[in-house]
Amino acid sequence: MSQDELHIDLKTEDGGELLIFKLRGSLDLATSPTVRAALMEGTEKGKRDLVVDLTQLEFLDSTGLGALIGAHRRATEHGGTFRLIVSDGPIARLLNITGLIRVFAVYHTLDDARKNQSRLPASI
Amino acid sequence: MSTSYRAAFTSDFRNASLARKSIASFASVCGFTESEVADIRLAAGEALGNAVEHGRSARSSGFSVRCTFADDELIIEIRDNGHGFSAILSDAAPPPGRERGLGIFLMRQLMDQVTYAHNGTLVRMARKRHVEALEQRA
Repeated sequence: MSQDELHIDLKTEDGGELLIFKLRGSLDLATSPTVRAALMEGTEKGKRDLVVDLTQLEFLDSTGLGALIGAHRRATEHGGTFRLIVSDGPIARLLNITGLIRVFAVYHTLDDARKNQSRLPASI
Repeated sequence: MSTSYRAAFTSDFRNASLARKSIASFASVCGFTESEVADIRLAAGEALGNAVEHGRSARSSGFSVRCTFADDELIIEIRDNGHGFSAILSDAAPPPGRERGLGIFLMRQLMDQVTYAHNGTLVRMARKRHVEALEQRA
């Protein structure tokens, strides 16, 4: 798969209450409308807990961040939660630079995100 | 001694991705570390996204890229055919949670210098390659 493409794998758990989106490829100006729409659909069904796994994402820019910010807002407005999984590297650095690591609940692993444990602190 | 790269593209988001990858490859060839290349790729991606968005409204839509590496400094110039815009070059971060307006802030955080000219249709970004980068690669 070219890193310019974006693949979204969606898995549901807890009887459909927990939605886990795994993104692969590039989340940028070209692909963020697709992700925005997918995440919005997930939050439109009422209270849902969303986990977005970015560990396989090659590239994330400000428009991709905008899609995540919008989904976070809608999920919390409906009483749900919004969590991110990231590896160390450029995406974690981006969340730190923008201060969004203090806004999003960010974890290293899906297991930590499920259990709400070992949330990553801001590092800068 | 300097090395350079030039290319021109039609205004299309896919071409912005292509240009972003070309600039990252150029930075890598110039000896920047993987982490520095990631910064440069993101900053360039933000500028290219703006160039495509602004350039698409013009009759003759397109954008061009010029990269020059000399004296351990990478200069990236991206020019579009749009009508320009008023770039707000503030170092202040947008309020957390705002969905738009992060692009120029990120460019300024990731590069040593970012300037706009010609009514916002030309952005020039500079990033110095540090000696530690060369030592890490050795």
